[in-house]
Amino acid sequence: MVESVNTLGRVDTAVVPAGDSPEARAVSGEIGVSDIELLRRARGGDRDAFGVLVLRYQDAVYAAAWAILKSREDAEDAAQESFLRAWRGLDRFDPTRPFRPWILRIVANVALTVRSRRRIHVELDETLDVSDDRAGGDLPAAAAAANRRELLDAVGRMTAELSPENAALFHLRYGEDLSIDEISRILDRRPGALAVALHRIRERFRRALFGPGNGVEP
Amino acid sequence: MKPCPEIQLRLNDLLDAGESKLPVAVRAHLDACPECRAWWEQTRETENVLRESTSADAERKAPASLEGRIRAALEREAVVASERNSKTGSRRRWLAAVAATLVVAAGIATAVFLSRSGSPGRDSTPLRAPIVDEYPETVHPGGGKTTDVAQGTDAFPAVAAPPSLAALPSWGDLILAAAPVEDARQDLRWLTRAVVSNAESAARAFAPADAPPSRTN
Repeated sequence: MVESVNTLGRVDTAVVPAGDSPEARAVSGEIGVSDIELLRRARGGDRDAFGVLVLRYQDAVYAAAWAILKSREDAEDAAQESFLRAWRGLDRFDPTRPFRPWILRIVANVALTVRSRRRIHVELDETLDVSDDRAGGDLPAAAAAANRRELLDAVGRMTAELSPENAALFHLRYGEDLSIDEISRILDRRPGALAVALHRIRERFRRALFGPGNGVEP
Repeated sequence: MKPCPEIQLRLNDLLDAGESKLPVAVRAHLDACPECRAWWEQTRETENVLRESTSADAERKAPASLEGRIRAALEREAVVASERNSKTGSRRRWLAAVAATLVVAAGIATAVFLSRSGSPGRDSTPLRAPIVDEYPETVHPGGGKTTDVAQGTDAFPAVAAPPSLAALPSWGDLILAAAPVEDARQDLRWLTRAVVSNAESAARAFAPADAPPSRTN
């Protein structure tokens, strides 16, 4: 595991490829190199430098894609597509700006587009209506949660019911720990609207966790 | 549970702050209002659970195969970009050859047009002007004079014939030259020489003949 401090001051971790592979040698030589330097080199066509950025951010990108798509295969495709788009768009990106919000914005767009296509497909098939945001209606598992692990699993199942837009907001807030203003820039939505949406999501979960019959003690 | 709406609104904005950083007025309200206090504590615990649920979710970790997939996709991207650049380059060379051909064709068409219709605007002096006073005149003693046209010399000065148009490259030559060949740059050099040669020929053809000096009685 490699740790590096990115341009937001956040500590990123990346799994170093094992063995004496070219990737492993490339990464071992890049530990501690800043995102800015890697981006400058990648803009010059250095694919290895970009590969180090992939290693640094693949978990964040994949997690965002998975939070919205809820499918391992789709999330992998979306993550790959996001990095390819970033690679193609490097000429237009200012390397002195933080990479993380940019790549998160790309993956959010990619995943939401995939999800909206999938929703159209499902609605056309008339087999399942996933357009309703049903999250937070009930959390029966919470009442019977014998331990924290079960509770967290139950919360995870609830988040799977969030609409794609709310899933993106939820992940950026609780998975990435970003502020409303930062999320607003990534999702290109007004901070006020996001704050209201987040409040509603949180209230649903609060009622599910602490409502009548759900005895989770703070 | 029904927290006071105004306090709930303010607390929503203060969720990221710790209890100790709440404004004094808000803290005083929480101490005095059990419903708002319960809501505040439940909401903060909900935030903790939601954060914990995302970090504990093993499915959110990128699979080990992802990085290899992305690297392979980047390699393919590079190959495709290289092929695309190569195709664009040959297409540009072909277009340059076509453009050069069109320029040459336009030049030749202009030259042919001018050679057949004169060169308006350059010189209004006719190429063949009869010089009347070259004819012999006889002055009669009783007055008057006659002009013997039959014995006059050829008053029309010789004008050099324009070079034959057959010397210029034919349309077939030009089209063949524009066709994409192995080295389009050679074609371009050839076409450039053809343009210069045509221009020189046209200039010689359109040079006005020197008019003979006019004489007056």
